[in-house]
Amino acid sequence: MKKVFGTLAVAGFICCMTLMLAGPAQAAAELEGISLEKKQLVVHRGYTKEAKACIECHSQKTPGIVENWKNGKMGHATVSCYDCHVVEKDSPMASQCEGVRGTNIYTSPMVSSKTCSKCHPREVEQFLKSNHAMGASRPLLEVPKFQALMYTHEGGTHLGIEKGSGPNRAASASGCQMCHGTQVELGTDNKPIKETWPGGVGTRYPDGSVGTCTVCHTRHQFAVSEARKPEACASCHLGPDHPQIEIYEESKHGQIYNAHSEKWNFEAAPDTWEPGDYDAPTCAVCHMSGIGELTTTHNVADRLKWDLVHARSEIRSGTRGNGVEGDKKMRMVCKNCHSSTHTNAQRDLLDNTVALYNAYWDKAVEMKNTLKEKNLLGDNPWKDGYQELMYFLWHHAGRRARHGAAMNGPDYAHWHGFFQVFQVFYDMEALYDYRLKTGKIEELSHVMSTAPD
Amino acid sequence: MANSEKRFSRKLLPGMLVGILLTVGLILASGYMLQVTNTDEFCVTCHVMKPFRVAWKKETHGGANPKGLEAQCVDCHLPHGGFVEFVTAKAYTGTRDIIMNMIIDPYTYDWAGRAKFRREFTYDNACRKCHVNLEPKGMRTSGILAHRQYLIGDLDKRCVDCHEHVGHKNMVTEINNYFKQSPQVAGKK
Repeated sequence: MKKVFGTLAVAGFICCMTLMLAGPAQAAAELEGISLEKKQLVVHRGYTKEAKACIECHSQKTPGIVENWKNGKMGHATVSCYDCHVVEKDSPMASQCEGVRGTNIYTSPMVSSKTCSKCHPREVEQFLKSNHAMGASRPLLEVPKFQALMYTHEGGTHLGIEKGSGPNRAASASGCQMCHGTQVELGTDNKPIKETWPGGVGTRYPDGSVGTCTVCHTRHQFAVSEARKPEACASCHLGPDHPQIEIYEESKHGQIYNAHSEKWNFEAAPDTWEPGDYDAPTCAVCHMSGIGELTTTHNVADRLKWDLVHARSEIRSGTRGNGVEGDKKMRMVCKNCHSSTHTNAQRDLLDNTVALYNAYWDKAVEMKNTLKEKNLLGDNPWKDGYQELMYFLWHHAGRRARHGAAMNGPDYAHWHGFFQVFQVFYDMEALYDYRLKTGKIEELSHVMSTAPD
Repeated sequence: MANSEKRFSRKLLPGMLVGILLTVGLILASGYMLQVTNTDEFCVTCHVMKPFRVAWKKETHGGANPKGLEAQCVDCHLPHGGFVEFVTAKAYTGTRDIIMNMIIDPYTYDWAGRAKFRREFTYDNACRKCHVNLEPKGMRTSGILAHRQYLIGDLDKRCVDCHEHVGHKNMVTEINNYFKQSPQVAGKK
């Protein structure tokens, strides 16, 4: 009898405490317009004991994650926390979350493309060949000029900020690496440290794997419908130096997307998502999805002819893809909706745009070489008017002109593009003439803004 | 007389050499020798192999399964396509292992780094000898998804690309534990 009363008392106490604590929390949540009830999910279907334990514990500890997961295809396929986050004890990324501490199960908050490839080998194989993998993080890890930009100039070592300190790394951690990715470093508990993780698509992990699929297929729903929408690409492909989303928005494709897309079907299986499910392409349709005779690819360079990113546009080759084949494939995409007359005119226009931009760039390089020979270039390129302008000629205005032409964004091809290309070029010419005439570098850089926009 | 003896031995010499080589070759390639050298006990006669065996014992393929099955070293680390392929790989691998064993310093050797080359010494046709059906009854959706892609055959994927740790449990830890022991125990004279 005593036992029964004791048990009842303990149970009663626990219930009261739970209600008392849950009340204010729920009230606060409802005030915010969210009602995430603290409930424990109980699952039985097709999970091992260990996998069940993860789901049930995390439904209370991190309800947002589990709510997301249960509404995605992973939840349907019984792929759960355990499948992606459990690693070998031996893994360089092995740590333990509170729930498994003291057991023989080791986890990692980091999930790279290598984990995804266990079920999606084809997609990851294609992805690894693309510039979204090693190529994306290369500048941060292998290009000294880029590193100087992040840590010396932006990171403020010129102000006396200590190299490698938190503030010194803040610019790259909050900016560059969020899209590019970097090499993940681990803290003492084998958890990734903030300055290097989470990171962008080309993140390199301690176990040697490369790439983060969750950049486009965000956690923990991993919805294909999401990756097919322009917003998935727009978190990186935007802004003054590569305004793809802005170009798309002003293109006819974007206009139709904004007008009709709520009626489109974004859920069709890979390779079956065809015109009719949509009536204008999103980024994914042209660059990745199966359409007509073309099959789905996760190599985003697969259908590209030109390299429109680097200082001089060349037909893609080597690690950057195969431009000749890419051109053929892109034309095959266009012809699903456009006549060959339209397609050919569009492709010829891109070729001509590239030729025009390259002519500006080649002349700029020629002038720079002459100045270099005559010792008329400043040591710090970010304080030297000619070199600053040359950077903007390529990296901002020149890219905008090329991308604007490639994807039908006239405002970017013109006002933000060639209109600025020629003005920047005239200024460079003027500086060039002045330096040759006087034999010295002007005392002040007249480039006072961060960029012509 | 001396001349004829010389002639006699000269004539015999090539024959004798060929005979000796053939005999040695036959013995080595005999069913008995193959059997003797196909066991984990034989493999650990090289001391550097000991931690690998310890790690293997703790993993499913080393007997840590309810059925008590064991896949021997050679079941995974030699090809099982045809007899000629098997014997050739066995001869090459065996010779290579002996030479490497004499050259490398196991204490400083990058064992974990070597695992990156596991494709070179773990063969798909070895896995497939036992794992005949890659979509068995009861397999989860994720496994079926992956194996279907593999079976289509146009991917650059081998079994060990995805199934990295099925042969040895916590291999790196076992290696480190073993080589941190005193040199006598680890077989370093």
